[in-house]
Amino acid sequence: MTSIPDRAAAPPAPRAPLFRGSGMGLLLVAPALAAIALLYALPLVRSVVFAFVAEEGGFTLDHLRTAFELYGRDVVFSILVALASLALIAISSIAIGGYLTLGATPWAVSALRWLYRWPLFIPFIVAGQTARTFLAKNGLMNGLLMESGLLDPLSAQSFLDWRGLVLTFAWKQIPFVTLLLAGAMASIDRSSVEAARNLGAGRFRCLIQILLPQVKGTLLVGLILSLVQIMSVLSVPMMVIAGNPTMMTAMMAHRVTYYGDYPVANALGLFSYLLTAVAAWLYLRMTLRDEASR
Amino acid sequence: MGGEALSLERLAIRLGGVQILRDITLDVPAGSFTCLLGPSGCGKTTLLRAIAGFAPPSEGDIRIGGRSIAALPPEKRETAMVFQSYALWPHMSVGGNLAYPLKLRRVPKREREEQVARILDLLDLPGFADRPLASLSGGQRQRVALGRALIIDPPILLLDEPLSNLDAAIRRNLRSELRSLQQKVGITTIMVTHDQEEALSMADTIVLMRAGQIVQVATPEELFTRPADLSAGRFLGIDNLIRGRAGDPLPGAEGATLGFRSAEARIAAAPPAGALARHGTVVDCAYAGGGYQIRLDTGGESVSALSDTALAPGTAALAAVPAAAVMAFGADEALLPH
Repeated sequence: MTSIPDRAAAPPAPRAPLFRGSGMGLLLVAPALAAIALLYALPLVRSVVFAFVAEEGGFTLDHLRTAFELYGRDVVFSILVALASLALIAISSIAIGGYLTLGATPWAVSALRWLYRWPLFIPFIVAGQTARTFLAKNGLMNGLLMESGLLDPLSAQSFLDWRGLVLTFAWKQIPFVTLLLAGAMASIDRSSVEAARNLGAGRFRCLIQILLPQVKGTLLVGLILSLVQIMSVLSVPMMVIAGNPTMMTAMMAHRVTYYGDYPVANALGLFSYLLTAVAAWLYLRMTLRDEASR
Repeated sequence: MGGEALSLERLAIRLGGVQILRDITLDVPAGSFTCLLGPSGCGKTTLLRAIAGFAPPSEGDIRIGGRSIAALPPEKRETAMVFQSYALWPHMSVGGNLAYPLKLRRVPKREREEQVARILDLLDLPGFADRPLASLSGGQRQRVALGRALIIDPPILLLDEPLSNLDAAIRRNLRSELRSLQQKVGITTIMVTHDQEEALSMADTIVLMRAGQIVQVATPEELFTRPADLSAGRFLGIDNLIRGRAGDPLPGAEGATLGFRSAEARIAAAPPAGALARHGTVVDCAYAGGGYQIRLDTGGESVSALSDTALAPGTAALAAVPAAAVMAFGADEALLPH
């Protein structure tokens, strides 16, 4: 009789790890880390630091003060335009997403599904140009209104001010937020909406009280990403708005191209960071609270 | 609380060009428990959804207590439905889920809280109002879904395979709980199921469906012992089908198809008086818990029966079934009268 080798007595030696210690692992991620550090983190830190460095060296708050004195109105204007745009984006994308999910007329739903994405593929600069020709005093919108007799030619006015900015930003960002939102709404169990309707909720209530609370997080992500876009797009304010006040981006570009004044431009940039950081913090706080309550 | 009668008149449904239901006529008495039973794809869930308003009928009428609801949107029908997936709202607590239908009906907050507490007591979930849904087990969620439907005191309760996502043991418990709750509340209930055991043990009336049509409406006993036709019989567990011979103890048996359940057939030494009997050789013998399931070859036909002892393949044996347990089906597959 042959004896069976005693496996318990001689366990197989554990396989040696491919990379020992953390040195090798670090080496593997080094190229990616270096790219992030050099191309993203360093310029960011530099621009923040230079907002606080005086010409002759040393720490100063002068640039911040100058930025605020000269462009305080633009900062407030930017914040208000951003908030108005986000409100319009939120309302429109909830309405479109809701109709795509709950709509009862199949052809209208498919037509809307086909139409709403188009602005996604149009660059901001083209959107700005289109808005300019559409919203100007002698633009397409007023022309159409006058032709149809809805508008008296004497009372025609230009929309190329904060309203033009809000409309253009919203037009460009609504499809993006709707894309996220409609996807999230479609992934919700259909029977959870049917249960609400069955128990007496109309379509609008289903949207606001059943669907929306379940996709709140996605909506916030869409709005925060839109805020970052609105705070960073230069072409739209350049195209749409002529005078003061205008968006911070336009003022930053102005400061750099006309005066070569990087420190004040950096100080303005700092306001943008702070604004988006506040939005991101609000979002994180909300998601953490939601997760804790689950 | 109390239920109302439901009647369906020549109801037909087409979805995407396909005829899902045709010519459905059914009267459900107030306060009764009716099961829609049938294989998957037979249209039973569509019928339930049509009553709730989620599948618009192409023809026919649906009436609750005499008034037509066929043209009403789901939210105006007052039919409370319990979904297979429970369909609870994850962003609300247990109490929030239960109170939402009352909120829609503008019931004041205090009254809402009282009703939620009352329904939680009824469901044997006292003090659960503030719990998040995630902390509930499958059975508890099912009860919350049931409570959410019952809290509005609906005239009709619709249950779409409410127990199919649960473990066998919990399912058996909830079955009797659900049945006694329904009797206590006296609500007209229609339940969809593909599980014949569930339908037989719970329903007052079973509606057997096949390919979008009603095959038979009967009490559980009647359906089990007198299925309308051969395929209804097969669905209800008739697993032996043999050709009737002259001398079989059933009127008109010769030439008919005789059907019976293996559980009713026994291996016997000699045929008991008045029993249907077949001689054959053992093909297969398998232990079936407490006895053996024997398969016999009876000259080109196969018969399954139970035996107290194991039999070796090749042995000659006799299978006997009491005549009362045998059903005879005619050439058109319909059940022949006794």
